[in-house]
Amino acid sequence: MRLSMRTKNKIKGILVYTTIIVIIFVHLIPIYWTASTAFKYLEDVYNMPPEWIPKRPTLDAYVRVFVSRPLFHWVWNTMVLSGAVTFLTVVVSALAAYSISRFRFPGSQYASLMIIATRFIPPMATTVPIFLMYQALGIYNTMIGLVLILTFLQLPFRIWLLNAFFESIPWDLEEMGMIDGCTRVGAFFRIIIPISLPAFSAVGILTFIGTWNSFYWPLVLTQGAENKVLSLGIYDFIGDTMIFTNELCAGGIIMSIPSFLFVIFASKYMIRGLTAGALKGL
Amino acid sequence: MSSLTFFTNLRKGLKRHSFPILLLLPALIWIFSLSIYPTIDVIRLSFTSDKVPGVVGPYCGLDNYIRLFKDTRFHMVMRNTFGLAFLELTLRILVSLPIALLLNEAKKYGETLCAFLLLPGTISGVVISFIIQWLLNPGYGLVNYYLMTFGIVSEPFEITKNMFTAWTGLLIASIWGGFPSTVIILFAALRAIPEDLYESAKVDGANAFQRFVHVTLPWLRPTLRYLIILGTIFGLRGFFIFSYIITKGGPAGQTEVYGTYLFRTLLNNYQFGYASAMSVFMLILNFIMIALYLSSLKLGYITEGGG
Repeated sequence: MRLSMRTKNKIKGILVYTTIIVIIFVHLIPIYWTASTAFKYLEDVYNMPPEWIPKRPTLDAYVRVFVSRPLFHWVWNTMVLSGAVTFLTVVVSALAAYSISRFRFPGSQYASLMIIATRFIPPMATTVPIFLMYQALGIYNTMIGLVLILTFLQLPFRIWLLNAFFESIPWDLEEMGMIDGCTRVGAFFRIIIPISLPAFSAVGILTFIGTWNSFYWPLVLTQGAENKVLSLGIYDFIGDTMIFTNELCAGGIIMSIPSFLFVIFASKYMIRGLTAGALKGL
Repeated sequence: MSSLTFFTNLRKGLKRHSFPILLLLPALIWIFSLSIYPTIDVIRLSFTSDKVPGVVGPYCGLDNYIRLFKDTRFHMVMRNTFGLAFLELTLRILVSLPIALLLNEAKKYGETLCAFLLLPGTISGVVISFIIQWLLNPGYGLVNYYLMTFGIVSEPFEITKNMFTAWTGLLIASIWGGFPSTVIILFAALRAIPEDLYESAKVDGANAFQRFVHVTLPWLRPTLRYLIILGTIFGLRGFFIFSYIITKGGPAGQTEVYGTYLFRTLLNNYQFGYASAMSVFMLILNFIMIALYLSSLKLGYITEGGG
């Protein structure tokens, strides 16, 4: 009886894992197909029946996409933009979240509620005034303008995340530090920042990927070649033609590198963090 | 209280609490200047005329709103936005729930497998758009090749053919990228179910189906409600990238959604007043939904005992 129960569980386990692996497999076919197209010569892209594994694998498309398009310039712009937004978001949201979680001052109980409430204003609905404001201030079609709006979009939710994290750090830790002779600022740098590094990196990674992929605001607030970001560059590419599909696929794979890195190195920990309790109270 | 004492108190208060306020100030200024100010300004702009494109004209009363309610294109936009959002949400939950349940059965490697699932969810919408276009390409797409070879369809599936194919294409793009994060939220909620609830249900003689209905579903109810409400609120903003890139609003405006119509009114036609009226209407709908959400939360506390 006991043995049969164990075999039953084993069979169930095998079935469960096989089904999941098949689902993941099918789910990732489009990405595999894009990657495989990117390793083909243009003549082979439209071969029928489809070549699942490129018969003549080549980096031709990757070379061409850098030569025929200012891809390097777009990547550079996007990296600068995402880097700046990530840095500012982490700093500004850490200060704000620390203030909300550690101090009581008139209005402090409303501060976090109001900050999170602004996230429920659809940003799209404020496009017209922001567009006009940017033109009036002379920051339309500038990187600084993009940094300002994209950082703003990240702030409310990141403050909320870090606030929840700081609230989970016991007060005693800082007080002990302060008894040992640290100032409040010293305690923040020596105690809070080191234990918050995982939370900061989570905020940083999510912000970086979100900004890297941003499309709407660059589309509204920039024009021309100089400040073009990767998403707009790839969009132009799709608009121009669907002929150089292998180059387009190579561009798409390059744009997805942060996502690949995220999935390989970071997502497991984030999912574990979620399942460990962040959502229990939902 | 005279205004003088008020200001003295304010100054004293600011002085005493200057440190925390100083820490909060950058974030507050940043958030408020790019959300509260434009939200107020868009209301003002919605009453201005846009007779001359690209110029904020004189105030013209409710003209823009009257135009909005008469605009048959806008009626179609509303139908598309809500129709697509509703279908997307329903399908996304129907796809995600079984997968989350399966992952929850994979006790040891659940998180790792979840991570693989997440990949399309972190890829740019622009890239997802062309991947879907390439896969569903009527002449050379992988999907059409196999559909035709196995004789499932007699002529290739073409996204831009009619409303049905266009909506299908957009829903595929949106769900492919969107369901992994839903799976993770549901998976996290499932992992939080205490094991002894199932044990005691088993002792009481409940079979797998009964355990699902009487233990799992009630436990998931708050999470599902959260997903539905967020899906509805964010549905209003949804489908911008996919509609803008894959179908370009076509065929014949059948996939024009709120975001794309607003964008075209603003940046193709430079009608600031009309685009603002459209935005204000969007804000109103948005706040109605949030009000419904908040009231459902309060009701939830009564009917679910705080669940």
